[in-house]
Amino acid sequence: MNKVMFGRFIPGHSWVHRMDPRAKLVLSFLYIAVVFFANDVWTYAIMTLLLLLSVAASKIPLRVYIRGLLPLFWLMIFTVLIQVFFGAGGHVYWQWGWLVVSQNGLNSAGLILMRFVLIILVSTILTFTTEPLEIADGIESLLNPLRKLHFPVATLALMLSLALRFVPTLMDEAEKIMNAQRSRGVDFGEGGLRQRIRTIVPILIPLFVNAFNRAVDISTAMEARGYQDGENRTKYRQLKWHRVDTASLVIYVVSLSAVIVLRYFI
Amino acid sequence: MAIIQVENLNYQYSNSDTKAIDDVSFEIQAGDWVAIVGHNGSGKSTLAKLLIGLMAADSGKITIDGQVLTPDTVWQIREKVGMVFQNPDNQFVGATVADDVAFGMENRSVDRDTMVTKVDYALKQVGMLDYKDREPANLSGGQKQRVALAGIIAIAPKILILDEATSMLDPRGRQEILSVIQQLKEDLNLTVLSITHDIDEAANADRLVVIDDGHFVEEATPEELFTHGKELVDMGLDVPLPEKLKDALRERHIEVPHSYLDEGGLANWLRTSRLNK
Repeated sequence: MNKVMFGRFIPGHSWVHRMDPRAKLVLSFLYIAVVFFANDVWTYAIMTLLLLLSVAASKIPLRVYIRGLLPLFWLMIFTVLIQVFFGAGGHVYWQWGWLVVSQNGLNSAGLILMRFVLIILVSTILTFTTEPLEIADGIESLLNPLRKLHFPVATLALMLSLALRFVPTLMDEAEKIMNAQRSRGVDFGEGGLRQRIRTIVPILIPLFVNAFNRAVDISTAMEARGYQDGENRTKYRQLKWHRVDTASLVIYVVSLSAVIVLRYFI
Repeated sequence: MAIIQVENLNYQYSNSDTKAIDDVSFEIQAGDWVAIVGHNGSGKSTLAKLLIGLMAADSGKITIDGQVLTPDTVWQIREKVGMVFQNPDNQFVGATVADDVAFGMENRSVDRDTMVTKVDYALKQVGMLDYKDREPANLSGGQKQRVALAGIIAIAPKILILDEATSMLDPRGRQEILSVIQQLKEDLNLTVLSITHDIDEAANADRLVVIDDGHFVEEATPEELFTHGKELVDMGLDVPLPEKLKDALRERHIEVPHSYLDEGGLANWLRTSRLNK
């Protein structure tokens, strides 16, 4: 479990860590949208520079980010190969039966690879520097306008935060159940795929039963503490927009606009 | 003045043939600490849930602080009652300690500035201020129950109901919680109703009520009741786990040491005993 870096939070006090989760969410989405407009060396140079700047500002070493990319390595290879062999047109460098390596194929493969890496890295910056709970707060705050359409934003946010809060609790429980099964002679690392799936079932069933019992207990406790409906509550957690957020916003908007300008007007 | 008044209360679970609560009436005076003891399934937890309207009684009348419990008044009554449940994890709703303390206030639409002051104040009362930003996964059971108490301090109720609140804690956590409650009761002039198996918790009460099969069978001061000795077990008070296990083994004609063993000691004895051979 600990080897998976993608989606993990790494505590720190860097510029990016201090940013408001709303700012980080918005900037990440903007960045991802603009990646699709980049189409040549210059625009990609700007995008890469902006990304490297953000990585530097997060004070997390680049190699940690690279490690985050590794699990997706095969997926990347696969997409690149598909693009190389099936993107037709332009000068043909090499041909063997229906496999053709052409100029256009190589171009679009490079493009796709760059996009892939940039998008994953920018979302990794978000998850490395932002606690899941903060992300939930950010999403709630950004969804706030939907309240006018009677969308239950606060209820959704509470669900999200409850789910996050119980992740470690349920992991502990799974561990306990596994230990209980081990003490009765189950070996989880053994056997083929079918055997392994078989050993998972006796973990999942008690885990689910317990989770449902927990849910009943929690709802009782929430009601006893005066929880009536999600929407008419005040909020203790508050997000604060700081100067770093405005500064980052300006940097991103300027660089991303440059990409759009380069693409369409020059 | 009686702050809790219960008259002819009845409740039966739909999947059961017998009444969980059978024509129970009692009164609790403001400022009292009353312990309700009884076996598993004696109806004591049901009683607690009925008192704050988490379940609706089949018949009978509950009056809390001068207000009769009806579907219309249930939320007003819950304002006056704080409840701590058995499982420390299943009542910890907030993502962090401070969030959890604030949860009850958020439900009551308290404004944020007040919440901030009250969260700090309440956490200080239970000695958890240093843990303010911790997540529940990093807390012990006793600490979580202290946070639950802080959440109750923050909303300043008149009545505190403990539904086996110490039963999942180790002896030290249990003692800590009990002394915090003792202090709170003094400071806030609380009325405490504790539903318990635990002898220490029961001993803290001014008055003990024994409940069995949905009936009240006995009412006494702790001193009076504790002179009953072995009968305590029949009334539903807990003997420490190692003693219970020793009794169970003895019943199966297995020889056990006579001296008192704590859980670790008994585990050791079991490991080295001839049962393994």
